[in-house]
Amino acid sequence: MRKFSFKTNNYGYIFLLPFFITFLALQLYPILYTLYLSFTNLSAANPQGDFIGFGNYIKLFTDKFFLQSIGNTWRIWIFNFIPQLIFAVGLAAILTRDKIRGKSFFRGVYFLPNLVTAASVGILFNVLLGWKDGSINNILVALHIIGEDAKIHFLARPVWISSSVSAILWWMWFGHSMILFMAAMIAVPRDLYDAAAVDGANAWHSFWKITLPQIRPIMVYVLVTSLIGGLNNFDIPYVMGEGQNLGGGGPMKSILTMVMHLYNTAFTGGRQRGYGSAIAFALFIIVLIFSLIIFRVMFRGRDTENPRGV
Amino acid sequence: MKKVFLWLMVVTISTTMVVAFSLAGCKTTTTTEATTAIETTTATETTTATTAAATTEAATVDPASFKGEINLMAFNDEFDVQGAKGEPTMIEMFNKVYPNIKVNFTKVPSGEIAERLESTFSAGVGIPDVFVGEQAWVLRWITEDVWENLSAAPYNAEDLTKDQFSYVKDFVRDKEGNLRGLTFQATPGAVFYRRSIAQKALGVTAPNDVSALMTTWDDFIAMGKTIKEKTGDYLVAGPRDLQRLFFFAKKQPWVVDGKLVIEDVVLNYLDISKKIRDAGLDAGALTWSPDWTAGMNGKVFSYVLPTWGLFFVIEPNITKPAEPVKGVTYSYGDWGLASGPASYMWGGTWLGISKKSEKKDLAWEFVKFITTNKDFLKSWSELRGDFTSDKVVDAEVAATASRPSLAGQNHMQYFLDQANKLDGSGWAKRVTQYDEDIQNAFMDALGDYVDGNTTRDAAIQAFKDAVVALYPEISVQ
Amino acid sequence: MTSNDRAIKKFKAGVFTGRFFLYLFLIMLAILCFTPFYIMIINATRSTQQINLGVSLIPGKAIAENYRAMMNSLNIWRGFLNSMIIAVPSTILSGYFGALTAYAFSKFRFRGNTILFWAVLGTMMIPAQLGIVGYYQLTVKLHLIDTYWALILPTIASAATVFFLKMYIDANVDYSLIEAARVDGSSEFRTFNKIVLPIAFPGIATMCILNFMFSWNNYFTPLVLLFDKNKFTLPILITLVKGTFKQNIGSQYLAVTIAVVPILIAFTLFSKYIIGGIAAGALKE
Repeated sequence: MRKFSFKTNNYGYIFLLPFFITFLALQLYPILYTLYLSFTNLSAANPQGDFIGFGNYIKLFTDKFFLQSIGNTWRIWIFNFIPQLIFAVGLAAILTRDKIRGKSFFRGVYFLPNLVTAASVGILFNVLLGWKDGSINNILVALHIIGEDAKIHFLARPVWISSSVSAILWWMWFGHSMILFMAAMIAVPRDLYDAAAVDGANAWHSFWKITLPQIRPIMVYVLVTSLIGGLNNFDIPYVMGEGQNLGGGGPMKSILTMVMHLYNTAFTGGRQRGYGSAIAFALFIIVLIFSLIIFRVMFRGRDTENPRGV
Repeated sequence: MKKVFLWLMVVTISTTMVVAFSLAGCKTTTTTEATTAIETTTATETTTATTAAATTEAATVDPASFKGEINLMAFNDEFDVQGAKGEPTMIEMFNKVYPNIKVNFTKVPSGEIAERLESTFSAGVGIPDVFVGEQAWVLRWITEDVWENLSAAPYNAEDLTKDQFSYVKDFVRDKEGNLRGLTFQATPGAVFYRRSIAQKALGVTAPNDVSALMTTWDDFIAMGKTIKEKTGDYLVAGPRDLQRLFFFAKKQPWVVDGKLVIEDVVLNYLDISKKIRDAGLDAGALTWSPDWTAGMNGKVFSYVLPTWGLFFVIEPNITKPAEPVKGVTYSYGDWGLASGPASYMWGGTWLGISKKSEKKDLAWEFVKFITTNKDFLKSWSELRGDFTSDKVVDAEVAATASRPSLAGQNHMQYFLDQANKLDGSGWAKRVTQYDEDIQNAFMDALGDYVDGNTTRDAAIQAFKDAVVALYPEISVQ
Repeated sequence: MTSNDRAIKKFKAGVFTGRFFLYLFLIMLAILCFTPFYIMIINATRSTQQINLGVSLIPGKAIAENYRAMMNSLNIWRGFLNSMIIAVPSTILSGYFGALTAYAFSKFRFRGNTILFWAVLGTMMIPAQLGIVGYYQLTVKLHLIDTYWALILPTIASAATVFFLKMYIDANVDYSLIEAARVDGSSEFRTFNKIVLPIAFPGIATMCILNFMFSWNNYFTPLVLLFDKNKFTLPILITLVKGTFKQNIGSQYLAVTIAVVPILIAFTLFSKYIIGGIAAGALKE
C-alpha cells in the first residue's frame, strides 16, 4: 500500500510534463532572455548591448515617468476593480439564486463588452467622448445636465480621462467576472443552503455566510488575474491618449501605465530594450509582491496544499 | 443529458480540429510546392534576363521578359486601392507594362509597419524585396543600412532622377551622399480654405487675396477674430493642425551636437496656439477625429494639409455621396488653396530595395517604374491628382490642370510654386532621425498647455523630460 | 380582510416593487452593455460621412458599399478561417492540458508541488509585450516563425487556465472518488479522463470559452509572428481595413461586426449548454 501511494503521487510529475516542457521551452527561455537584457544597455544607440549591472534598476528610482506610471496604473485599476467586483458578485448572486426571467439573456449581454478587441472599444469611446461634438456631451446637454457652454473636454482633462479608462475597463470586465462567479456559485452544494434555511437564515444571511466563503477560491482567482491584467494594462489607455501621439499617455501623462511606459521605452524612440526589460521586471516584482499578499490574506490559516481541496 | 452534450462537444471539436489541421496541412504543402516552383523559374529567368540585359546593353529590354514574383510591404493605399471612379492602382499600372512580374503586396498600417519591418530584419526571415519608408521614419532605414545604394551600378539612379526636386532626394541620401530610396511624389503643403466663409467674413475669395491676409501669425489670428465675429465660424479645427508650419520655419536641426535646440519659433507656436484657444478661434477637434472631419462641411474655415490631403482627405469628405446625409451641405467646389505664414511639406513615401533581396533585378524594375517612369508618373498624376517628384512631369500636368473641388483652381501650379520655394530652403539638411518623436513629445506638451492643464514653463519642462525619456543620449542643458 | 391577509398583500406588493426595480436595473445595465454594439452594427451600415456626423440609432444604406470597400483591400473570410485554425486547437490544448496539470497540482502530493505551482503563477505576471522579444527569436531558431504552430503550441502551458482549474478541482473533485477508482484498478490516466475530466467539465468549458475569446481577439502576438498575409488572423485584417489617410470608417465597423457576430452567436449557444450541463448536476453524479 505504501508503494502504491508513492508511485501514485509521482504520477503528478508525468501529468505536469507536457505543461512544463512547453513552459520551459516557449515561455521561460524568453523570460530569462529578458532578464539578461535588463542588465544591458541594449538600445538603438548601443546595438551591441554592454553589461551594465544594476544600472537600469537604479535608474528606475529617478525615472519620473515610471514613478508616475505606477500611480496611474494602480488608480485606473482600483477604480475599475471595486465596482467591477461589486457588480459581478451581486449580479452573479441575483442570476443564480433568484428566479429571473431571461437569465441567460442577461448573462450573455453583460458579457458582450468583453468580446470586442480592446483597440476597437477604445476607438469607439474616443468618438463618444468627443468635446464640442461628442455624443455623450450632446446627450448631457439634451438632458439639461450641463449647459451648451459647459461641455466637458473628457479627453483633455486628467481626471476625466483617467475615470473614463476605469469606466471602460469596468464595462468590459464586470460580465466576465460575473460568469466566473456564477460558475462558482452554481457549484456550491445546495444542501448548505437548505440547512441554513432550516436554521432560519434569510437570503442575505446565507449569501454572506455560505456563498461568499464558498466562492473564495474563485474570488482569489478573479482578484489575482484582474490585478495582473490591471497592472499590465495597455490597450485601452494606449488608444485613448489625447492627440495624434498614440500611446503618449494622455493629458499630463495621466493614463500612462507601466506597460505603456515599457512599450514606449523599448519599442519607440531610442528603443532602449535593456531599460525596457528592467521596467518589465520591476513590474513583475510589483505584481508578485501583491499577489503574495493577496494569497496570504485570503488563505489566512488555510492549508492551500490540502489535496482534498479548500 | 450531460453525457450526450459532452459527446457532441467532443465530436464537434475534434472534427473541427481535424478539418482545420488538414486544411492547414494542405495549405502548407501547396505553398511550399508553389514557392519551390517559383524559385526554380525565377532562377532560370533571372539568368536569361541578365544575359539579355548584358547583350543588348543600350537597347531597351522588353519589360515582358522580366518574370517572377516580388514581395512588397507598404502602408499605402496607392498600391492596392482603386480611385473613386475605378482608376487603376499602381500595381495594376505596373503590370500593364510588366505583365510577368507578380507583386505580392502586404499592407501594414502606417503605425505598425516600421516595427514590423524591424522584426523581419532581426529575424532574417520574411524581409520583403521592396519596402517603403515614410517621412517620419525613413531615416532609420538609411542609418540601419538595410537599403541598396541606388546611386551605384547597376541602378545608377542619379541619371534617372535629374528632373526630380532636390529635396526629395536629399532627404534619403546617406552620409556619403548616395541615394538609398526613390519616391514618386513630392508633398508640399497648403492651407485649404472655404471660399464661402472667406467671402462672407473677409470679402475676398481668390487664393492670392486670402494668402495676403495671413502672411504673419498676427495677421492669421486677426483674420480668425474677424471670421468669428462675422460668421461665427472657426479659424482652424485645432491648434495642433498648425504644427508643420512652425516646425518647417526652424533654422536649426532639433538636435545639434547631442543637445536639444528649442528655437524661438517653436516657443512661438506655444503662444500662438494658446491665443487661438483662448480667443475661441478653434473647434477643439483633434486631427483625424470625426469632429475634425465633420468640420469640413461645417464651421471650420481652414485645414493645413499637403498634396495628398486634397484627394485622400478633403475630397472624399466634401463630395456629395449617393446617399447624402440629411442636414449636411456638402462643400464640394467651395475650397481654395492658399499659402499660410510659412511653407512646409508633410509626408512622402520612399521605396527602397532590400540588401537581402534575392530578386534585386525585378525589385529594381518595380521601383524604377513607380518612381522614375515619366509616362507612368504623368498618367498617375492626371488620374489621381497626385503631385509627383518629377518637376518636368508636374509642369506638363500643371499646364492644363483645374480641380473642380477647388472651384477650378490649378492645384498642380500651386503645389509646383510651393515645392520650388521649399526646394530652395535647404530644410532637408536640417532633418534628424529624432524629429518625429521630438515633435510628438512637443505636441503632447503643447496640448496640455493649450488645454489649460499646465503652465508654459512646466509644459516646456515636460517636453524636455519626454525627450530624455525617449533618447537618454540627448542632453537638454 | 384579516390583518394576516393584509400583511401578505403588503409583502407581495413589496416583493413586486423589489422585482420591478431589480428588472429595471438589469435592463438598464443590459442597455448600457449593448448600446455600443448596436452603434457598431448600425455604423457598419452607414457611410463614413454619416458616421463622422455622430451617433445614430437608425441603420444607413451603405452596407453594400462598405462591404465592397472592405473586400477590395482584404479577404476577411480567409482571416476567419485562419482565426479558426488557430483558436480551435489552442482552446482544446489549453483546456485539456490545463486540466491535467491542475489535477496534478490539486490531487498529487509530490516534492516541489508548491514551488512549481508558484512558478506557474509567476509566468502569469510577465507582461506579454516583453516576453515576445525572446519568443520571437526562439521561433526563428526553431523555424516556427510565420507558422500557425508558433501561436498554437504555447497554449499547452496556459498558466491562467491551470490556476483557475486547480481552484475548481480543489473545490469540486472529491478525493474519495479518485481513491475509489484506484481501488477498482483504474489507471491514473483513465481516472483523469473518465472521472476528473467530466466532473471538472463546467470549469473547463468556462476556461475554454475565455481562451477561445482570447485567441480570437489576440492581436499583438500574431502581428509579430506572422508575415504571410494569407495567414493573417481577423484582428490583424481589421486594422488593415483602415486606409492610411482616407479613412473608410464604415468598412472598419463592418469588419469588426463580421468578426464579433459569430463569436456572439457561438457564445449565446454554448453558454446555454454549459449552464445546462452544470445544472444537470455534474457534482452529484
